[in-house]
Amino acid sequence: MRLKTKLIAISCILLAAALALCCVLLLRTMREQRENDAVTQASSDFDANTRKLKSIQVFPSAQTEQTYLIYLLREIQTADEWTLCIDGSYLVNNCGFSPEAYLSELELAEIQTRFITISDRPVLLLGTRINHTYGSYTVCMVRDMSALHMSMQALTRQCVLIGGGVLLVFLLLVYLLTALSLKPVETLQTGANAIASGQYETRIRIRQKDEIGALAKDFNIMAEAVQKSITDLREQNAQKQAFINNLSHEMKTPVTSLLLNSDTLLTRSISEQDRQRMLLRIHEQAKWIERLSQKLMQLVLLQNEIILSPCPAKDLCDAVKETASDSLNAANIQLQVSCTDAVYEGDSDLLRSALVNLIENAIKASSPGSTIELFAKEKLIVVCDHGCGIPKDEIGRITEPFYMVDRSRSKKKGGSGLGLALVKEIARAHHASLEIESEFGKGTSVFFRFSDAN
Amino acid sequence: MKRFLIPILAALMLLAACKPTPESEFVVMKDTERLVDTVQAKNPDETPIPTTDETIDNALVKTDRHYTYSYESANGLLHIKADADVYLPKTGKLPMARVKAGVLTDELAKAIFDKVFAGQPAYVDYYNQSIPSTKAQLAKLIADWQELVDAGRTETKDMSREEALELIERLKEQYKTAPDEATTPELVISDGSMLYRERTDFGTERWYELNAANPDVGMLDVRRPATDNGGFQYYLSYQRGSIEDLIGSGEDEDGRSMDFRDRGSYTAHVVNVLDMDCTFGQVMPPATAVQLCVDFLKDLGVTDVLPRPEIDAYTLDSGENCYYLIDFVRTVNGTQVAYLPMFQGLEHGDVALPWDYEHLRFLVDRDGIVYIIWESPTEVTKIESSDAAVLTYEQAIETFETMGRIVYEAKTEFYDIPYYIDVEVSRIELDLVRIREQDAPGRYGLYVPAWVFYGKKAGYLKQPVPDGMIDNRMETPLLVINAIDGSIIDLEKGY
Repeated sequence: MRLKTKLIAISCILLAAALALCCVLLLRTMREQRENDAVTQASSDFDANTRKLKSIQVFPSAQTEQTYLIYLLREIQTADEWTLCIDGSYLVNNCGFSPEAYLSELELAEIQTRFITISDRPVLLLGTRINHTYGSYTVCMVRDMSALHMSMQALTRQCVLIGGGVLLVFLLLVYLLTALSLKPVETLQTGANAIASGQYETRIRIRQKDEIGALAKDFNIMAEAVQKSITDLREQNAQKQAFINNLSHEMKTPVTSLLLNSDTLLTRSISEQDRQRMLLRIHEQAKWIERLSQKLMQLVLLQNEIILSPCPAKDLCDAVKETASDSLNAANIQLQVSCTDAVYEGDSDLLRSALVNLIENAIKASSPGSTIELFAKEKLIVVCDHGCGIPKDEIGRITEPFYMVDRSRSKKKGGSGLGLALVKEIARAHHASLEIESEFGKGTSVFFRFSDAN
Repeated sequence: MKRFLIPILAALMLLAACKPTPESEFVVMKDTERLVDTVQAKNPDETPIPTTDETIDNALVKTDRHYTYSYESANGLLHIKADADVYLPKTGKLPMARVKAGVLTDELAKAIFDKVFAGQPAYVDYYNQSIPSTKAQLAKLIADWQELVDAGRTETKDMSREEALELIERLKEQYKTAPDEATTPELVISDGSMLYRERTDFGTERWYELNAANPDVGMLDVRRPATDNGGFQYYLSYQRGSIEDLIGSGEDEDGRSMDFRDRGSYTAHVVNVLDMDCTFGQVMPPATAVQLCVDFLKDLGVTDVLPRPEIDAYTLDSGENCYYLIDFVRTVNGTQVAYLPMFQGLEHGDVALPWDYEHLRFLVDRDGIVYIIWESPTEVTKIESSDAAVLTYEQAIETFETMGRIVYEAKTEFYDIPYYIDVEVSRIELDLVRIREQDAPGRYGLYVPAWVFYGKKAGYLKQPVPDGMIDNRMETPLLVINAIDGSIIDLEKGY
């Protein structure tokens, strides 16, 4: 059952119950009051009229005594209400039934009162006994209370009608108010459905300043977050897909080369020279796959939190210089290191790996005899080269995995396209940023900037 | 939600179904039924009726009893005297019968119409037409009124001298433009049938009426209500001649005006049925007058009525005419109903006289029937007992002497001013009296035997000056005792 229906039903049931209870109590009180008034009036009438009947007079015979009593009763305005009985025989009775049968044995000076229903007609009985010379008489008054009963019925009908009317009006009002109050909820529901169906840009326009308004505000925040998350997820998903696509593509080349060369070696008779060449080729491709897998592994590992520890810049620079010395010497390139007493919070191996990658990139971009600078100071490490530089429109993409500006040149020099992606991940893991400034044909500077929190 | 609704609904239905156990009823008969039952249960032969002589007196027999009595209340306000003969039914039997308001049927109305107009045309609503009076008619009216003014007798027409003079002036003005010849309106000749009428000025009354007149013959008005339960009464009146004949009435020696045709002084007499052969009235003997009425009714098929034993005769002092007022009473198996025309129905709490007591009166003069008035006829529907056991004469006298004082002493209190009452009983009859029947909506009742004490009563205030003489010189029932159960019948209440 819907909330609106529940609210309306509960409200109406409660109101109906309250109205019914009020009406019942009110009608009951009124009925009791009117019955009491009727009894009081009837008792007063009964007392006033029986007083005359009780007055003792002496009559010459029972006949005349009875004639007198009958005469007195008939003088009463409401004569048909009265009965007069002696020894079980009625002298006066226009009620059609025996009231004495409904009253206990009547005694002198005692007035009995009782409500009964005769022929579906409510009546009030009053009775007493009076003694005269020639006998003991029972005198009863039978007052028809149908008017009271009918007036109560009419009043009850009025209460029911009025109550019904009030309930209907209330139902209408509750329906309208509930609909009005729950409209924002429906709007929220619609919004939630829209978001669930993929419309993440959906926002709720509710300007109320109550709980619903606060809920709508929170909903919009949630929708914003969901949209951002979805967008990020999509981006990540796209990146991962791209990564996988590129990985597949990058893997495919060396694997193909391995297969080709090994197949040739296995299936064809070739000269020793060719065989050696092919084996060398196989070895080179295998080494490249190994480097690739190592960097991939590092990238994967960088998804986890790293343990930061103090890394003196001097030690880091010395380690980097040593690691890159072979490559530098082979390329006839000088590394000029300038570092302060700065201490970085980080993983020394990862930092060294990142700097080694930057220097290797610089080596690939530089000409023999050129110099590569390494600066390490407070919260900043810079690697500068004076090589070929990076075109401006490609600077934004060079940190993407497998992206290479000059693919053929990079591959010739053993590049996999993962170096800068790895450096970027290392920077991210150290809460640092990686900035690249480059001028095509002049050189490139890469800034590894630690954040203030680091 | 359903888990709550079902128990709630079940509880409501259970509550609605619960009702208190009805009382078993101990049914008893009501007063009227008990009366009938008493009458049917008792053997009438056990109830002694005084022996009578064999003198015939219409429906009644005068007995050899004569009742005398005298009483004065302690405060001197009430005087009761009795010097009365006792009359019993000639039949010696006292029936009890159920009755209802009698119907002046269309057939009866037509029969009366045919009889009184005897083939001459009678016009529907003749006197309701706007017919301008001629000069001759107006001249006669002016002369009549002038004579009344000159004689100082305008009060007989309930007008002061000044009012009568103003009327004469108006008639003189009307005379100036009155036509010489009577203009004949577009009159519809009546065929004697009763027509439906309706009036809504004070509530809605519906009735059927035959209203036809021929000024040279007479005017007839017969009415009956359209329903049984309305307040409209059955009514018949016939007037010989024209409406103008009513003007110029006379008065008797006591100054009471008489709607007779001859102006002059009258002397009133009471003619006893025993003296019907007297030559009292030179113009027409009373027996002839009575026979005229009896024959008239017999021709209409109305045979269960008898003339009252005493009729009023008014002889013109000049001897030229004599008017007889003859009242008829209904009979049941020959036993007469008490003569009660002067009591009108009263509404008293739950009690109301369902319809007025029957009144059938003829006025007869030398030329025959002058007028007939028949109001509230009663029809016997069932004889419950052909001879009921009744109270003895002694019991009736005992009840009268006990209750007469009580009933009339209560009337001596008049707004704390002493009110003197003199009661004189002159006649005691054992008649039938109509009482109402309980639980019978509409016009139903019972004829029950009753001891009726007739006489005259006078009541007057002595303070501050003797005033307010309320005098009833006609014989009226002073006390009526139900001869079955000995209760007092209040004629104004009808039970």
